[in-house]
Amino acid sequence: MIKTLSVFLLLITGTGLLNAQTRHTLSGYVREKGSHELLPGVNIYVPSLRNGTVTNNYGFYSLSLPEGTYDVIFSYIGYQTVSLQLSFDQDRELDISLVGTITLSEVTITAEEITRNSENSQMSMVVLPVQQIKNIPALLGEKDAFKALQLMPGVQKGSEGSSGLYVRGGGPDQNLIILDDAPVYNASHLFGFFSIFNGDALKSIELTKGGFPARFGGRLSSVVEITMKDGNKTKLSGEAGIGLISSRLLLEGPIIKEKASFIVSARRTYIDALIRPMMPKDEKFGYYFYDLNAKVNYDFGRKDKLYLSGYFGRDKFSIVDRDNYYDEYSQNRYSSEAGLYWQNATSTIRWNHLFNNKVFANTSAIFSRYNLTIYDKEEDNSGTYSLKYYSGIRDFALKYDLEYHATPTYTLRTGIQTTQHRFTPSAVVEKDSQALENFDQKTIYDSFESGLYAENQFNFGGKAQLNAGIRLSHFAVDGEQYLSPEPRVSFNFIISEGFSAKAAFAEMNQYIHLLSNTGIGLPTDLWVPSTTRVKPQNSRQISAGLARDLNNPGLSITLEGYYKWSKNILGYKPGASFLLIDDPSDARNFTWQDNVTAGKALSYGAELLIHKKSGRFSGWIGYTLSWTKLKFDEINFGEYFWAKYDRRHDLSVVAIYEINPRVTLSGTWVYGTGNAITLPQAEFPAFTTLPIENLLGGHFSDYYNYTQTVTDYGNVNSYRIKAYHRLDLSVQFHKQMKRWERTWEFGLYNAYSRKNPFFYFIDEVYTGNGSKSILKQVSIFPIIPSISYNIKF
Amino acid sequence: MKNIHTFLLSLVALAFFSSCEQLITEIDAPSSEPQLVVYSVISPQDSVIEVKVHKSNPLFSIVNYQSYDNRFPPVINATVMLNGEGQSVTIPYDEEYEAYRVDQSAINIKMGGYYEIKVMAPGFSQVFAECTVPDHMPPDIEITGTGLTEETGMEEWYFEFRFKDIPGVGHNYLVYASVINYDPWMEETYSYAAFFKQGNPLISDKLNDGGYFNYRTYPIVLQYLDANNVWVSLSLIDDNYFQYAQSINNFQDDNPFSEPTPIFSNIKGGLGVFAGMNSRIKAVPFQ
Repeated sequence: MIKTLSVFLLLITGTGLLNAQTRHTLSGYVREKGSHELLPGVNIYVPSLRNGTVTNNYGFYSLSLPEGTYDVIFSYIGYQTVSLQLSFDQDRELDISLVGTITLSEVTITAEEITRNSENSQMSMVVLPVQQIKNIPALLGEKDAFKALQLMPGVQKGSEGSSGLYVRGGGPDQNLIILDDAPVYNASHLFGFFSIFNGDALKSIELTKGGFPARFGGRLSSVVEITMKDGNKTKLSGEAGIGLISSRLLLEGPIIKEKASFIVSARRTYIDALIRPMMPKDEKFGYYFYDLNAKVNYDFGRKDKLYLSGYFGRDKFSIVDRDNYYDEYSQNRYSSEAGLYWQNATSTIRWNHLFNNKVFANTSAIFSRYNLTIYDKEEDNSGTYSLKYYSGIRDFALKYDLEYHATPTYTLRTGIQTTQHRFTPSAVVEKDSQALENFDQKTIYDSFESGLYAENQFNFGGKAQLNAGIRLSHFAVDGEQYLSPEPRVSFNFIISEGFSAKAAFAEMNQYIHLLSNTGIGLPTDLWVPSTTRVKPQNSRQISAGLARDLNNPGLSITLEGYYKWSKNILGYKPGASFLLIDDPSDARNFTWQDNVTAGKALSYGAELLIHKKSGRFSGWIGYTLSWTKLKFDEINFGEYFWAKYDRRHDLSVVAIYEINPRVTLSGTWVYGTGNAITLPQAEFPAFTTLPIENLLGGHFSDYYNYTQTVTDYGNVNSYRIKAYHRLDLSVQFHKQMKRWERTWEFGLYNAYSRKNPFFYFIDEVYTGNGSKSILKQVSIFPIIPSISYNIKF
Repeated sequence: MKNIHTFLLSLVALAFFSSCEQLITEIDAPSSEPQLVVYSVISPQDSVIEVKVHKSNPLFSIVNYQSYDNRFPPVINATVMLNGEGQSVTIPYDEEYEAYRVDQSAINIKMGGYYEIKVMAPGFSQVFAECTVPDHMPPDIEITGTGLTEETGMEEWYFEFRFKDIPGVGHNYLVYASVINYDPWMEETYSYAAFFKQGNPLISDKLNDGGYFNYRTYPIVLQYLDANNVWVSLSLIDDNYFQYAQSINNFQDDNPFSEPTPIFSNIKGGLGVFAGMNSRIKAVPFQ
């Protein structure tokens, strides 16, 4: 113990001695040449010192080195590497422009140029190049960032077609999805088949599954950080696409050349127009979704930059019966309309300020809102009845982050964030023109969630990196306060060139919860806060792994294992139902706290990822072996049971090949063990006792009581549905026209038409003097071809 | 290049039409054998010990029955053995009650006593269960109020009562109120339950140890009743019956959006429940 402590202290002081030499700082911004788009995550490396840094989310870097002359290499996936010999004899500001690569003329990748996964202390992180998302074949040609994330190891999808993320045994409610600093509460369109993220407008997508740095908090299982593009600062450009179910348009350009720019991206579906001709005349089915991303930014100079960004999206589903059912006897006309709609809105104002060449700060003011409305309106001669059920969440937040690149071996990140959440788990408005009183009831919870963090990044002479931090999280609601320290540590040890071992520990708390209907993927997301009865969810995760970077052929291989304990996980009580379909007016009695119960979860597994991010041939193979068990006092009679999304094996193979500059082929093959479901096994009579009969010594028939027929389910989630596997293929034809580039894309989703399970149901067959139940599987996506046309100008 | 485009477009059209096939498929479901369903609640206050023995119908096998209402006929050739507290009895089948019944004198059920039941029947695996009868009587029932209303235009009467929980967590109660009424039309005596406007018929003292549990009935229409009082029963039930009754109450078959509700069972190798309780009753005269 003493020996270990001494070595540790020696490392720290040794590092300190190094610090005693004269140092100079090189700092600046890295941009994309042409558009001036700031590039996050650019690798800046000094081979002779085995030291370096990475640009932050705003493209800023700061590197302090001892006096001398060094080769400094700037590299980023999809861009040509820049290598410069620089003299560190004084502090310098140097902005770099990187050129996007043409992959045909394959640049020989040298040891320093590839993104060095093995030299990054951050483990369990996936960076998805946006260009690869555009090349992966997709359902109906709709490129989807979340569907691409589901192809990564450790990330599983829910049911067929769903865009929910299940990360290392956590449910879809345990992912913090941030778009330009704003949290997004429902990231789905069309009942979960597509995510709301329009790939055209995105600059970067990062998914962290474990070893969370202290700057992240609020969810147990993952952080998905999505950054929008800033907009081309030199010329007007855009992209447009027409697909089978939606079309999209992106426009970006300068407001003031090289100083201010904008980007607007919109997408809208026309499914309703396509289906309408097939609907009965007297019934109108309506569905549409749209989304709109917009961003404006102004560059005041080196010291200050301002960004304003927003997202607005909506889905609406309705059925209108307007042809007026006419009852001859009563001469009553009757019509009805029912439906549901949900919408997201986020907006962020961010101000980057550079204090000096070592200290960078960002201040953000954030707004986010999600709500769902279910409505029903019926009209006849005697009057109108309407019922509206509403649920939503609205946030106002302030965030301040500071980066201090103190020395070549030490960086401090610190910051504070506070959010005011307003939850409206249920609001019911009932109006009946015939009733004496109308009904208007709202349940509102106001709460504050805050986090204060400090993150220390140490570099031990290029041999090891350590990120040690702590986050103090706080939540206040309705007189109840929760305060929790969350330690975070991740460590990377370089075994040899391009080969390292990593380990991490993170404790996370989640103060807001998502109750979802566990049946079909309805958008009935209900966000609720922790309360006196419902405690915050908590998890502790340890992970360890190996990372290997192979220069030729430019492969990054990671093998990781994890073990996660979670407690106070929410689940629905047996018999509980979110959607009260029997009688909508029962919604007035709905108290969500009575419907839920708390338990614990245990998840563990191993993940392998072999990733080639660049070159004519690129792609990855991801495999996950995992177990997820749950234990609730009130479910399965307190015994452990498998989580619904517990998938023993999950395999994804993604391959993209650019035959020539004009033709790109791609394919994905996925395999996953079937979900666990609770399958009824038998029926039997359930008797009850009438103590009065026994005590009075009589034999009575209970007028209101009868022998009930109930179902024997066995253990919860003890049955496995069929395994899921699917092959998708696509081919893209690019052509460079005079002023624009066009791409035709032909795709095949589920190329061998595998009947994958969507859900199971039981059908009854009567056989003269008896009956038998039959288990049936519903699949929804057979082979689906797609065709889309895209232009870029 | 034009030819390739034409070829690909034709492929897309072909793929589109071939996708219009059947998307519902039958799955080989796990088959299972019928199991014995045993239901018995023993009490020192009962004059008769009754054990119902039926069989379950596996869902994914053909089940033959005489009529839909008679899908679960009793198992009449079972051997039912009850033993405990140094005594043992084999309980005979009673055709009139369609259950296995024996007088309490054959085996005295004691408060706090430990009992085991074994049921064997041809074609079934043997089942076994055990229970311990609660060692207290339930608390006294205290009538706290009565009143008359005419909400429906007819004379209605309600009453309120309460009881005090036995100190110490771990007590479960079953509360029931009913009017025993002879119906001359049907020539049958019925027990008409009086439902509670306030108070839960099945309750545990987890959140109210040592506290009062208060009840109030919905108004009872007196006009058509040929009775002078309401009977209230309060039973101190063991954990087995509490979990069983709670799972029956939660059971929802028709709602596809509700969570599955497994039914509690302490019958090893079978289904149902074997439990113990102590009960007391009180007559509340109409006023």
